[in-house]
Amino acid sequence: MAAKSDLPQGTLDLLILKVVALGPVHGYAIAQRLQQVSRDVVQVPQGSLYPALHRLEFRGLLAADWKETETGREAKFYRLTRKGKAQLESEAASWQRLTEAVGLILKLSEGGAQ
Amino acid sequence: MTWWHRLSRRDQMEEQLEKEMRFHLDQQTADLVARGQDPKEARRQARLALGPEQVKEDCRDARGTRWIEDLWQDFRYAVRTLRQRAGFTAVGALTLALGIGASTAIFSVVNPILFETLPYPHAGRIAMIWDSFQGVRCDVTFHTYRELAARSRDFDALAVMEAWQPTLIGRFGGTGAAPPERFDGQSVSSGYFRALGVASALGRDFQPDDDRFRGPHVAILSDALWRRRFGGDSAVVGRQITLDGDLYTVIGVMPRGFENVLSPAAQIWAPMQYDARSAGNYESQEWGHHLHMVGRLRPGVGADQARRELNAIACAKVADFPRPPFASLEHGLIVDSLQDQITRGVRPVLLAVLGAVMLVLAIACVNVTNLLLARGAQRRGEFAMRAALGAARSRLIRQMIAESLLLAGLGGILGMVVAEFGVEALLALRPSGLPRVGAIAVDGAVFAFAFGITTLVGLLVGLMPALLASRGDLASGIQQGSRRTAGGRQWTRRTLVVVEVVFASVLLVSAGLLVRSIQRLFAAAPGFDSAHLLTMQVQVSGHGYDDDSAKIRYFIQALEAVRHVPGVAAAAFTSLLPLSGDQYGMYGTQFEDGNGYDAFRYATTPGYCQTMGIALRRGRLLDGHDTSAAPRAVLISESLAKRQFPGQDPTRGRMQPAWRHAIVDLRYDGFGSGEPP
Repeated sequence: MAAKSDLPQGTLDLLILKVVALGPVHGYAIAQRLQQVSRDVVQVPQGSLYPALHRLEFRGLLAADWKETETGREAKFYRLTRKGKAQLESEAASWQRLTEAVGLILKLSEGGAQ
Repeated sequence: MTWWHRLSRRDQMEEQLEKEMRFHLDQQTADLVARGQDPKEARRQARLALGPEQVKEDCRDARGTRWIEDLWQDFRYAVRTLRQRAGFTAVGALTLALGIGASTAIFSVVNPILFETLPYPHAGRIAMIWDSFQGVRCDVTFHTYRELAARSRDFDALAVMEAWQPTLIGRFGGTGAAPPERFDGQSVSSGYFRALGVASALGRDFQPDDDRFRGPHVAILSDALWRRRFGGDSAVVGRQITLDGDLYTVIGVMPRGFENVLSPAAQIWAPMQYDARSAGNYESQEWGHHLHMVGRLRPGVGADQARRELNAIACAKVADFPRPPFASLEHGLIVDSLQDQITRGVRPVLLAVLGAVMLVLAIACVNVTNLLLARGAQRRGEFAMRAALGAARSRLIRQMIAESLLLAGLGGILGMVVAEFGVEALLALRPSGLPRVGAIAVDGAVFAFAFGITTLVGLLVGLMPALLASRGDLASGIQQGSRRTAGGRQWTRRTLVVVEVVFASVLLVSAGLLVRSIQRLFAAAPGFDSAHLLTMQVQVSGHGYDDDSAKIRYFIQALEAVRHVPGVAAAAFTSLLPLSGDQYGMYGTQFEDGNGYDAFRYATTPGYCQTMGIALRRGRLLDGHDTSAAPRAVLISESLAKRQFPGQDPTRGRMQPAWRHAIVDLRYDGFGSGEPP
């Protein structure tokens, strides 16, 4: 129930923003897509997905509309706002920089550390 | 989405949240069924994976308005709990009501006196100026005022004032005779109202020209007097009224809200019109130390600067302004802010009373804390149950605090009722000399104070019981009587009892000391017998008494008349009552070799000592032979005799100019002496 995400702090928001950026999508689909795309490596605990979505919505990064799915049911579809788009870009860029830097450090051989 | 939206559309959002969760569960169940799961098992697994109730809680938290919703919920729950335990609630609320009410009542008395600024524009710039004698403030003379007004540059306005009690004769408008009426008033120099920064509501203020010696008689009325005696008729300005047999032109009426802190009872003002040309005559009344002086500092001038300037003037005597030895200003001048002047006498007492009442409040708080602690012990099972159902500790604490806040709120509301009556009682029992009585009321500041302490009390009273009740292993609390935490609570309660006893002891000891000092005060022999003694003031009014002999005739007749009243054993006149604090009937006296005032003298009729029960130590008392024609005789106090004539028999000596004297036993700040009328 209270299982913590293995994702580093703050990455869940980034992943959600990225998935939503691909087009309006409901919560269940976001969970599915995250799991598929990451080839089951990234386990998004379902318990933290919805609170994260709601938090992003209240921060104005996401907007939501109730629309019908292909099966004819009403679902809450999230989409990226302009503010969300800017946030995604800056966060993606900083994530890129961080991973590159971490990668460089990890690639150092024993002798190369001097 | 604003906070307000999130709050106001709470139900809609709850509904949508529910719908979103249901959609998720349905989708996942459908997916699992598609993979061949049994539908029932699929639904169970979907629920397990999501944990919908926890997710909903977390989503509510994500709104950021959660605390308000919780607060509302907590308060509703608190209302229910307090209602269920009405007896406990009543005792707690009444205890707090007493504490809050008492402290609020005292605060409403103390606030306008100690904490509020005086009701004048830039009140901080108003200063009182005193002459000083051996470091003690004393009244200034008219010529000192003249010199300072002419030489000082730091004041926008300087003024002197003294009490004046004119008698109004005749009626303005209407018909029939109105009884003569004596008012409290002030005789002021023309800058008085400018120094206070208050303008008249009708007519004009005093002008420097009004100060002219033997100038036309003019007067300004208070709003209350104007309404009571003159029907609030604005035509009164410019009309003449008769005061003490003289015609005065009414030139103005003060505004309704004008609060005259320097003489709260004053209803009428007139310029004092002293003779500025009498400076050479040191015997003139213009050289008498009987004026209060007030001034308004120029903008940007501090009290310190004004003090330095005035004392520089005091040190540098100039030929234009001669000074007699008794008004030489050689001891310097004392400058106080008006606020200090008003509060100096009462500040320590008021702070002590405020402190005492705060202790009472603290005791009430400790009591209620103890009650809540006991309640917390009873409710341990309830808390354990709620913790087991998923309530966080912080939530339980908040719940308890909500209850104590509500209890304090009830106490606060009842306390305002207590305060309302308390203020009335305090005003009825107020000691004389309490300044700014008119400004004492249950007003906005008082409400803010009451609200503040109510909130504070609610938090303080609830915090410790809440922390203790929610502490430690709540699960074990389901089995009643967990020993581990009970020990901690007992320790806390013991500490609280100790604190309470300490507070109560402090209060008891202070009250005991107060009673003891009052006992001592009453036990101290004042030198006269105050039992069965009545005092009253008599004045003559009008030109019929301009002649001294007429005045004396009147007073002798009045005294005879009083002596003939059945039940009156003895009666006499004095110019000054001992311990009355009055200074007007007192005159400085100088011995031949003296420097400045050596003794203060006041005048009495024969029979005064017998009436007052003052014992004669040596010599004789004044009698009917001591008229103005006889050799002058005085009585002196024992303390003066010891100081001035050590080891001699003063009744055999002669004072300046040729007064014989006897000793009476009179304990008094000044010195008892007497001369025939």
